[in-house]
Amino acid sequence: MTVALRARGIEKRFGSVRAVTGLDLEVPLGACFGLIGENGAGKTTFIKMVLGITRPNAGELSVLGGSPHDVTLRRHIGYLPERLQIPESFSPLRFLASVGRVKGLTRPQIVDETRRVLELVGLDPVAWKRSTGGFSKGMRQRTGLAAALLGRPKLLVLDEPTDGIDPLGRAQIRDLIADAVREGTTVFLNSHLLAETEKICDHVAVLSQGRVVVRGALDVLKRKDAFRVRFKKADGDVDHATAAGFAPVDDLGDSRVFKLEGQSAEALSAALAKALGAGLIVLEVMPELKDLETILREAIVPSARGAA
Amino acid sequence: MNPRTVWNVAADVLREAVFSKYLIVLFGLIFLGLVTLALALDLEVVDGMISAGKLFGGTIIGGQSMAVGELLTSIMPVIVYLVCFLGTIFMIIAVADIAPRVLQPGRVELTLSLPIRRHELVAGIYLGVLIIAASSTLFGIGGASMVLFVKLKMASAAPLVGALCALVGFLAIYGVMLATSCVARSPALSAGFGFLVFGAGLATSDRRLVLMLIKSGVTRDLAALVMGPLPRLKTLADIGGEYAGGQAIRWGEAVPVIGGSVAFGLFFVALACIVVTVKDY
Repeated sequence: MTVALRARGIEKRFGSVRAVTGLDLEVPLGACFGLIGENGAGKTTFIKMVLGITRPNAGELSVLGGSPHDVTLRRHIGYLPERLQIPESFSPLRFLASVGRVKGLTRPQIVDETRRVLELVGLDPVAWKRSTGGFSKGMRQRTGLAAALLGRPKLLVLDEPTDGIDPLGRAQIRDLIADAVREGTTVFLNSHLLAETEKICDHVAVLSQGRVVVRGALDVLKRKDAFRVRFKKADGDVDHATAAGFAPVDDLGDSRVFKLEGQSAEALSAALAKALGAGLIVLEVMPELKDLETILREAIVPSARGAA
Repeated sequence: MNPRTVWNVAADVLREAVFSKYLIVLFGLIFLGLVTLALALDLEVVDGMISAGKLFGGTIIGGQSMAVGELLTSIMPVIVYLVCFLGTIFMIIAVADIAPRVLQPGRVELTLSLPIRRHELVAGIYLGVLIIAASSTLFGIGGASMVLFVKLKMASAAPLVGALCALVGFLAIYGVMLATSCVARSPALSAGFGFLVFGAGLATSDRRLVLMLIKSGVTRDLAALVMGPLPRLKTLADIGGEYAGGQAIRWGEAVPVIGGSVAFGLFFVALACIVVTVKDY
């Protein structure tokens, strides 16, 4: 099995509303996969279908090689819902013990695992025995995340995991997710925080109006086929560089930055050879990368136009 | 169905119920009633006869002595009726929010992502409420029996058996409340339907009388059809009260009434299972 999650032609309607339509997706095993899109794009609906909480009207869905409705398979899945409600009278220890029991963990396993995950999410030990009714949103979120991590799941499905968590806490959770991926866990993440997703994920899919409009490895999607080159400032460098095909961008005092847009690496080599031949000194060559927001905007605007 | 999973759900319902303000009030009231009974009832018992008795300082037995058994047979049915009517009303209020809370958005999603089948979740909630209802009944009736045992030096298991009738009636009502919660996840609606079945169940016990008040024709036929499967709650209370009062159970009447109530409750639990199974959360 090389794929943790496979969706083929998934459709979901709520009355006359088509929440998900013809969704195809593959999440590689061991990947950290980010699902992004606008509100109402169908992200949470899809996640619920992955977990067997909602049933698709059509299509095939396979999770860890089995059906999402296979109860035994769910032992290997950890889930953090978008708006988690923990029984207010429960302490984190009690809540995690309850989740652990349903997951089939033995009593000693529950004790060990509970301690491990609560330390992992950085919840203050003073709060472990306190009722969650008085918890802040961030503390509740950490408790929910601990529940998702309980029993070292093979697939971790996180719906807005850093929602309500302070910036330092976010960085901690980012590290925690990265550690889980390093240990072989597949992470399927839905977040509105694009910067977070960009930092954590190695694969992304953009959902728009219920279907995947862009998907792939993040480093491939970020490529722009544009380069910035910093030359040492010299007499006539602008003329020589423009002659080689570069466009001036910035004057940094002792150096000048030029841009080569919409070109391949081969075209860059040729342009650089021409500039070097003209006596220019290259200080730095930087590939231009798109950020996730640009990827999202570029993916959603044409798809929205297409739908219109 | 995995009994361990069902028990895990029920155990969580019980753990949460310990902190429920309604249930704390319910058990508090029962406790208060028992303490009041223990302190306010003063009986002088000599050789199985009560020579004098006072309640809140007022003479209830004086002059002529009364056999202990005679007093028990007149008090116990009252306690059983109290449990059947007042106890049921309190229980409807106390447990109305349990299922909606377990099924609330943000919680049910996490539960359903765990290795748990949907019908096990429903069965677990029902089992949890059954244990709460049984505990409060046992606490009330058992406590009252204990107080009377201390005062009268005579014990009887009859009220406990009588109180089982109250439990059967309540569980039939809770089947409807659970199915309602699975559809609407609203404590108010759950309690509303509970009271509706409670009222209809009392009226159904006097079905013939009620039907006679309805104009003959389609309306009466329809009313008869609706009342047919409803649990006969007053009849159940009568059976329990009579037994607690020392009378023999009329099995010919009791079996169909108890069996019908159990079947009614289980039908709605099954309906709740179907609703939860087909529903998207």
